[in-house]
Amino acid sequence: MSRSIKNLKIGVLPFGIILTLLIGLILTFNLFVGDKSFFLAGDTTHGHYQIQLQCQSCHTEPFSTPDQMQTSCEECHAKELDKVNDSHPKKKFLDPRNSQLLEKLDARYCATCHKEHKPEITRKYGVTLAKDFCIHCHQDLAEDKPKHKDFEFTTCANSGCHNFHDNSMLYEKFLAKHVDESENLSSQQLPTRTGLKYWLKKHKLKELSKSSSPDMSFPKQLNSSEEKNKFDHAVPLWTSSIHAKTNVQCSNCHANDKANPTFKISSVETLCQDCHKKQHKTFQQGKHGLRLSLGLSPISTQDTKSEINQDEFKVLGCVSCHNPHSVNVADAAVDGCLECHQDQHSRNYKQSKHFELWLKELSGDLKSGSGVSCASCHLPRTKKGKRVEVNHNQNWNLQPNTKMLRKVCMNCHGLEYSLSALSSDELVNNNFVGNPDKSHPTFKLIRERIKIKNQSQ
Amino acid sequence: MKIKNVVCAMILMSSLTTSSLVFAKDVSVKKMADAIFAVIEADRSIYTKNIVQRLQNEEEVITADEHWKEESALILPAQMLRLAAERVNEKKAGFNYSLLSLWAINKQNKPRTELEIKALNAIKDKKENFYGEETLGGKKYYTAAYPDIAVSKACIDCHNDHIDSPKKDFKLGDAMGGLIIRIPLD
Repeated sequence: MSRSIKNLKIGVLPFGIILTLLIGLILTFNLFVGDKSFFLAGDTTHGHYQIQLQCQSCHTEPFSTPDQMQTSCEECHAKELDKVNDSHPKKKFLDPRNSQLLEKLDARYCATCHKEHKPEITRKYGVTLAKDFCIHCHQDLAEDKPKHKDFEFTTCANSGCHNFHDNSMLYEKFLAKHVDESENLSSQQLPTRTGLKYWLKKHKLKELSKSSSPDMSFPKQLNSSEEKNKFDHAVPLWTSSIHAKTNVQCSNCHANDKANPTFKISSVETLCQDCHKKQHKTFQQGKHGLRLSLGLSPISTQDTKSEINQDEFKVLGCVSCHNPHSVNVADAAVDGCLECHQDQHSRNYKQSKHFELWLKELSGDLKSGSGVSCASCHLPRTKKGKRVEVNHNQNWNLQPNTKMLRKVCMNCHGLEYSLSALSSDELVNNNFVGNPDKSHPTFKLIRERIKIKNQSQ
Repeated sequence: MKIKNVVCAMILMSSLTTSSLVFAKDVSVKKMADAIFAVIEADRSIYTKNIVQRLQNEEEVITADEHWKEESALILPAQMLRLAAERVNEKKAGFNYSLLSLWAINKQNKPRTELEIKALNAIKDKKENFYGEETLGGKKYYTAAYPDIAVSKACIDCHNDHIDSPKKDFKLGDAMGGLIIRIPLD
C-alpha cells in the first residue's frame, strides 16, 4: 500500500512540474505576445473598458506608483477639469493644513474615489466610494448651512444639487438669476453654426457657388461593375452635397495615390481631419474616438458595452454617422445615432416632442435650429467668441447631465424646468415625454436665500 | 611657492565657507517667511486697490465675482491669493501659504489646526505677526501668521454685505483675517 503511494508521488512530481511550466508559458505568452487579458484584475468602468487591455495607458509601467498612475489620469482628464473650474482640484489639497482631511480621504489621487477594475462596487460616474463620502470633510455642514440639516449625506450629489468636480452651472448666483423663468422661453433656438460663414470669409466668397460637376477625369477607368454601381450611386448624392458647392471634388478624397488613382481609401479619418480638424479633435475626446486617439483600431459594434444594435458589424469612424457622399448633417443628427443606439432613451426619442419639432424643422415649417435632434443635445453647439461649432465629443456634457443646462437645455427652456427634467431618471429614460415634478430642493433653498437677501437690504 | 599657493587657497576657501555660513544664518526661516509675506501682501493690495476697487467700485466697468469664469468677471482678491497659493503648491516651492479668517465666508477658510486658531486670535487685535512651529501629517513646519488688513472699501463692502459673512461691521484698517505661511523644517 505505502509503496504504491510512493510510486504515485513520484509520478505526480514531473506532472506538477510540467503543468507549472505550461501555465507559466501560457501566462508569459499572454503577457508578451497575446492580449494581456489573463492579467486583467477585473473589468474596468464604462469610460475605460475600450482600452483596458492597453495596461500601460494607465499603469505606465509594471508596478507603477500611485503618483505615476495619477499622472496618467491627469494626462487625459486634467484639462477638462480645469476648464470647468473643478471644485476639488488636486492643487488645493497639497497645502499641509489639509493633511488631517487627507487621512480620511486622499483627494490628491483620482483613484481614491475612482478605483478601477472593481465593477462590483462601481457606481454612477465610475465612483467606488459609498454615496455619503462628502461627510469625511463636511461633517460640520449643518452648523454653517442650517437649511441643510435635514438632508442625508447620501443625497449631496443628487442631480441638480452638488457635483464633486463641476459646479459651473450649480452656483447660487446663476440659479438665482434664472429662478423664475418660464418653462418654454420666448425664443427657442440653438445658436447658428458658423463654420460655413468663416469658410466663405476665408475663401473671400460672398455666397456658395452652384453645385459643381464631378471631376469625371477621375478615376480614369472604373475597374469593375461593382465600382461602376458605387460610382453611379455616389455621384447624385455628392452633387446635392455641401461638398459639391464648396468644390470638394472626388479626387480630393479618393486620389491618395496620384499615380494610380483608385476608389479605395486607406483611412477615412485621416482624410476628413485634413479639413475638419476641430471636429476630429473633439471626436477623439469622446468614447466614439477614444481608441483612435490612442492609435488603436476603432471601436466596433461587437466590442461595445453600450446597448447597441448588434445585427450588423460596424466600426466607428466619421462615415458611421456622416454619409461620405451626401455629408448631410441632418441625416447624421438622428439616423446616424439611432442606427446603433438602442437604449431606452434612444428608442423613445421618436415619441418625444423634441422629435416632432425636428420633423417640423426638416419639412421647413420651423426655422433651422428649432427642432431637437439627438445631436442638438449630445453634440452641442459651443460658442467661442463669435464662432459656434459642433462639439463632436458626445460625452462632454453627459455626466453629470447638469452639464447640459447652459449650453443645451437653456436655449429653449427655463432653468428650473430644465434642471427638474434632468434630475428625473424617468423623464431621461422616456426621452422627456411628460412634465417634470418641480419640487426640486435646489429651488426651494434658492428661493429662501433670495428672501433672506431681500430682507437684509 | 607651491606651499604658499596652497595656503592662500585654503584661506580663500575657509573664508568662502564662513561667508556662506553667515549668509545661510542671515536668511533664517523667519526672514524667509517675512520676505515671502512682503511679496504676497504687495501683490494682494495692488490687485485689490488698483484692479478690483478701481474697476468694480469706482469706474464700475466690471464686477468681481466668485464665479469669475462663468460670469466673465474679475477674480475676487481672496481667490487671486488662493489660486496663486495653489500654483505654488503644485510647484513644490518649499513653502505653502493660505488666507484664513475667524469670519471666513467660505467655511473651509476658517482656522483648522490648533496653531491656526491660536495665531488668528493673537493677530486679530494686536495686528502683530505671530510665529510658531507645528507638526502636520508627520512633518514639522515653521508657521508664520500675518494680519490681513482691510486696505480698501472693496474688501469691507463685500464682506459686510455678503449673506454668508459672520461679521458685518468691518472697517478700513481692520485685521479681517490672517495670512499663514508654512515652511517645512525637516
